Amino acid sequence: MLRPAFLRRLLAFCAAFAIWLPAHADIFVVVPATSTVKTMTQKEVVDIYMGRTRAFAGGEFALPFDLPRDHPGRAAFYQALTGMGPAQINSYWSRLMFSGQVMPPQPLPGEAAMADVVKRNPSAIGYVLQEPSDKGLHVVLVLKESK
Amino acid sequence: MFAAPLRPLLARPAIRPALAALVALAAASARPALAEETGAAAPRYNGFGTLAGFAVDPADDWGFRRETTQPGHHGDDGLRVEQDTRLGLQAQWSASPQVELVGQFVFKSRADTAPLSDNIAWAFAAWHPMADWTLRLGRTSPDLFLLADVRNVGFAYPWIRPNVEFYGWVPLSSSDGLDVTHEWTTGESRWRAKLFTGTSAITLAAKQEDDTDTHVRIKWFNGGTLTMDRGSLTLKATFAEARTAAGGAADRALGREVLGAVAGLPLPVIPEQATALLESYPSGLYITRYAALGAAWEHGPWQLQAEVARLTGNFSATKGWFGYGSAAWRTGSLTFFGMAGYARDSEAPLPETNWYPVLAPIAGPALAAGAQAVADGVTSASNNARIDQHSVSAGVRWDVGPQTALKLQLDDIHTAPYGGGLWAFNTNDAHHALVLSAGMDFVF
Repeated sequence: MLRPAFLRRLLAFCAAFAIWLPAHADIFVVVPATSTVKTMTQKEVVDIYMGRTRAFAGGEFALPFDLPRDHPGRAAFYQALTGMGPAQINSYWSRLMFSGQVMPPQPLPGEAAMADVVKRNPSAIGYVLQEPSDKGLHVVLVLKESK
Repeated sequence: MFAAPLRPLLARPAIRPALAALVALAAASARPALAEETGAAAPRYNGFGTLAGFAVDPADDWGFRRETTQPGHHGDDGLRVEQDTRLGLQAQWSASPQVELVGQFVFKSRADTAPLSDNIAWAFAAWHPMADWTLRLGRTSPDLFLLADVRNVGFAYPWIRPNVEFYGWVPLSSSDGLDVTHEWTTGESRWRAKLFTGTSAITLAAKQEDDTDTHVRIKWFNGGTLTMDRGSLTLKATFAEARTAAGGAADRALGREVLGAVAGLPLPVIPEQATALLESYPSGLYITRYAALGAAWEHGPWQLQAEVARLTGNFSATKGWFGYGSAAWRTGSLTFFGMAGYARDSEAPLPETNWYPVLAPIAGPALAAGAQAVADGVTSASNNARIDQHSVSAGVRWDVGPQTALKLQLDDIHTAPYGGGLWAFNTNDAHHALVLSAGMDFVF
């Protein structure tokens, strides 16, 4: 049986380690497995999701998909991708959507729908919060979420 | 204010593609699941609006206006809400990554005889044959300034309204035609070049008690823009030319005949005045040439924006300089801003004439009175529309939510003699006014 003093030191060590280590979760930017796009830089993904380009680097049309506005994964994605919080992103697109030049990424009901739609659409790009096991999806970029 | 002699909507070229787009949107809305499978996106319906009011000090006869297409009301009428209050409804559908249909309706205060079709701000189809090329056919916003597409979207900028000296005099809010845009990247810079051509119909609101609305037809509107985005810096250059046919051609022709006759008389002073009046407006189409530069930069909490435009043409009211600069500082949900604007017609005001005492003994009372009436009419119309004004503004924007903002703004406006063309019920005297505005912008 462990002595109380040892237990206290062990608990203190674990608490300190937990505080020191930030919580990380990966966000996976995905395209269909049939896509010609195999890898992307963060800037390329930013340009698509911020409406600055409607194409992948090779010139193919890109159709970006998004999670619902109030989905926590959406906030985590844009924070990791652009450093902007949900209020800033909403304000940015609120201005841009009425320019008639570009549309915001199409929102889908949730992650399951995201995976389903992306793998069936050759132009699609989306993101999921867990490493996909579905062979119909290909990961082009991994974003680290910091909390 | 929306009551108007209705013209058959189907007669307007832009209405047909608008109707086709609505039918397509309705069909797409019925099958959203299939849309995503085919590479299309479900139709999106959004909107924007502003609820705002203002009061003017001194509350005199002069009527403050946001745009020359809007009727004004005397300043002593108290709080006014019609100038800035508006509602916009927008529908967009990507039939495929290459094809988009967009429609936007904007309901706002307009001239009493403005047709209902003026509420259609956009109705166009966009085709991307390649990702960096865009062809648009239909009704779009004329790309004349930085805020060309979001002029009515209060949520898109920090102020209650875009600077009146720079944006208020431009009556053109939509054009029916075609534009072509090409985009490319060099290093960290993204470039966008556009050429556009089209036509438009405008209804200018009456400015004085005894005036009527003026309907003009822009028969030819061509131009181009070059835009560079580098990080948070945007630079834009614009050039455009418009050829406009104004109504009352018979009256103008008769007036020119009278003035031409007076200009040929062997008299001192009067012939020179008649010649000046003749040169103040054209015999045929009104030609306007517009060139502008704009810059916008966001750096940390700062938002800076400025535009300058030079106007030239074949009639006196189209020669001038227009510009503004704005600085805004954002802290949390508050944005404090200051803005200064300037507009000045280059041509001096036409001098008042007094021909009757000299012409009556020569040509008889009736002809002298007729010539005097023509001179008075041309002089009054030109001088009353002349713009010579500058303003300084300050205010605050409070983003109370992700889609709602409250604003408060104070404008200090100085108008030089013969410079009140942006106002309704203006006189030829100098004028100074404070305009206090408050409003709420929202998007949905």
